[in-house]
Amino acid sequence: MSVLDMSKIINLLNKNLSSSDDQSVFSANLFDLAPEVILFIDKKGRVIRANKRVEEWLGYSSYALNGTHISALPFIYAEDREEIKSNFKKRISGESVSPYEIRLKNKKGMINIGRVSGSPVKDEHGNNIGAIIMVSNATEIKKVSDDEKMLNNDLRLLAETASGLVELPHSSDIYQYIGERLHLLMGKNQVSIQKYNSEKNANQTCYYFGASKGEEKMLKSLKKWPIGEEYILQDDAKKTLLKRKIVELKDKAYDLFQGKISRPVARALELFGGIDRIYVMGFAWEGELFGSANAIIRKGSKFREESVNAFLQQASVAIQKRRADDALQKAHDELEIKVEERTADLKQSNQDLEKFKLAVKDASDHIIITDPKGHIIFANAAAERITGYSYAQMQGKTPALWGKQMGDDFYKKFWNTINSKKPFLGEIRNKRSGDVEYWAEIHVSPVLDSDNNIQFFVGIERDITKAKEVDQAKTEFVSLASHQLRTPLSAINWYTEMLLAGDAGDITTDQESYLKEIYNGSQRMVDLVNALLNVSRLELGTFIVEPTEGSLQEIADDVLKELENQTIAKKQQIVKDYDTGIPKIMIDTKLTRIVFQNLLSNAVKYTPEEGKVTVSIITNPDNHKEVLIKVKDTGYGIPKYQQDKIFSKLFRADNIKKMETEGTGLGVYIIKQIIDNAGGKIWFESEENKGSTFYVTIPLSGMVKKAGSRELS
Amino acid sequence: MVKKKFLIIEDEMPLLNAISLKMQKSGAEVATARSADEAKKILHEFDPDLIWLDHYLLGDEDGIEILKRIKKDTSTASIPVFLVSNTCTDEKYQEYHDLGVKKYYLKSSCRLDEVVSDAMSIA
Repeated sequence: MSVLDMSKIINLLNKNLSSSDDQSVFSANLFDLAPEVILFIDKKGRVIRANKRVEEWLGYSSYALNGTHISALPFIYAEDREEIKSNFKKRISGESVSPYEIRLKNKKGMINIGRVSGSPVKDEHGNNIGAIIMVSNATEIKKVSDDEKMLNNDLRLLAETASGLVELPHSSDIYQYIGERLHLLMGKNQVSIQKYNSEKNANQTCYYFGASKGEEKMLKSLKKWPIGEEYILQDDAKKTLLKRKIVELKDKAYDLFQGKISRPVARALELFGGIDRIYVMGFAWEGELFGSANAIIRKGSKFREESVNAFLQQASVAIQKRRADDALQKAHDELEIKVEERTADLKQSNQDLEKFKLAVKDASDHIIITDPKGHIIFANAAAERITGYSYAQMQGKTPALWGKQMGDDFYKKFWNTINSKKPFLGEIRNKRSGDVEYWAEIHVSPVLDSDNNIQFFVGIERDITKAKEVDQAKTEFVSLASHQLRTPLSAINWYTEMLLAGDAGDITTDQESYLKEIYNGSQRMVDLVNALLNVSRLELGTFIVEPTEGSLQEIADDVLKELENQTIAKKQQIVKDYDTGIPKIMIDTKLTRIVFQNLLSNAVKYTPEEGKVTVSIITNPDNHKEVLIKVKDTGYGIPKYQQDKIFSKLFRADNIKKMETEGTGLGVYIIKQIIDNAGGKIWFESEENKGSTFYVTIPLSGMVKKAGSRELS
Repeated sequence: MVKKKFLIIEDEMPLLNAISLKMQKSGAEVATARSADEAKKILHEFDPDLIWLDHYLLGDEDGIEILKRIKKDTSTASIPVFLVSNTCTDEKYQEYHDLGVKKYYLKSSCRLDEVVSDAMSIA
């Protein structure tokens, strides 16, 4: 700072003390609020002006000191007066005076240490016209020295704990801690700590140490008191801070405020703050800046760069560590939540798995799992029970243990199917431990891995020996019924037939009519037996569909011919509507005959006298690959509320039950079963007292062949 | 006119009687058997023009056994056989068919006079 600048400031002070101009208010404030006692001394050594710091620090009114000789000031010890006088003389004569420390006595009589520095003040012609003397409070510097041991302990602690630091001592806020320690280390110098918000790229001064209340006020009036204020860090400043070592700011206060204050104001600040140097150091981690320490070194104060540097380095590491720990803790907390959620999920899936295991274990069906070669790796309790072998006996063996009862062809087909990754479904005869044979329905599914290779086979067997027995019983019943019921009926039929034919001599008209009743009754009985047998076969699933080339029209005509007696008797009109283009198709003629017999006899039976029955055999207009058989009558119809039951076994509609006793309720059920099994469809439309229309479709490609052991009759 | 000769192999007496009565009424000569053994005994001697055969018979053998024998024997192989049965709607039908029965009737559903008239016209 040049002497010229100082004189300007003095003039400024003298001229504008009472001005409301910002700059002068600022200057006056700077003067009064400077951390040092500042004395303007005239050429003769008398006080022209003292700032208010003298009141605050030493308890003497600044105005009361005016005119008092520098060596006679009330806070000077008598012993020091000569030294002060001679130093002033040196100063005013142009000699340099090194800063020196003296004891000062405040108004209450307590000893303080003052560090004295000063400069001569010159006029425009370069003549010394007085001096500025600054006395800073060095009491705290002494204290710092005393505290140094403690600080060193802190440093050591910081260094030791930095690598494994979780909690720092003294304060939960690491920035505050660093500020406090640093201030202790720096003595009366100012320390400020800033935090950086990397997201906003803004910084905020969070702690400020070593500023007097006056300085605080001053900065507030400047609106630069930085606590709580956020501002954007400029790129060059950021670059400086990222160096992570103590950097001295070339332009001091100006740099510190990143040019937010003008250079003269920055200078004034430096002057009245007694600022000698300003150091900054950033706390950075991997290119991210998250804090900095600013140290403002006052003139004449001690500054041990090495220890400050060491401290800040450690602090930086500590902050990084804290940051990392916080991040780790956060991640840990999040992880813990996730683990809890996952554990809950896992628990749920474990429970599910447990349920699943139990279900498999306790299933009544035999369940085994084998490797791709068929070696057993799991068997449930039912498998043990049904085969008679324990899991220990099965383990590593193949199901041949209880198998091998079928022909080679069966096993060949079985392995071919499952090895081609398709499930196998079939019935198998096995032999349980103790040589007892049983029948099982087996379902073997290959389980594939993600590469589509067979990983396991899951085999499920259900013991169907009982079902087979029931099946056998039913089959025997069918056979029995067909024989035992039909044989006496045949005898009745044939003898009645012979009586009616006059084979046993002439009969009277009455005898003839009675015999006809017997014959009709017997015929009904035969029809009923046939229908019941057909139902049994349908339900056993043993009936066969054996398509051969046949003509639907011929079969329809045949059946119509059989019904001629009835249609003539009822004076019914029969209309045939056959498409000429319908070819012969592959149909099971027996089944087709049953279909026509049922449809047409129903139509005739349930249509009153003089009604009309129309038989259509046409190409299905909705699907040209099908033949549509349509039997339409003008009969009694089926009540709406019973239409959904029409295909049920033994169903007879309420309206026709009242007028017609004949009828088994099996006909429509049987044709539905036949058509479903032959690959066709059947449906109807009906309105009571208007008539019904039954529709049957058969693919032009023919009926679907179905192997079985029984024909229908 | 030479009488047509029908061999009736049927175990049920009432039916056997009815058939034989009807055939005789139609002017045929009738021999009857209720078992395969009986049939074997008279087959060659009687030398029928047509055989009426039921499936279930008295004795150990059924219709298939006797039919096999008839078809195996060149002297009887050409005799037409009508299978008239109530119980042959199962897989055995195919066997009869393959062995070469001329016609098949379901007893309870056919008229006796029709079967006899068919027999008269074929034999």
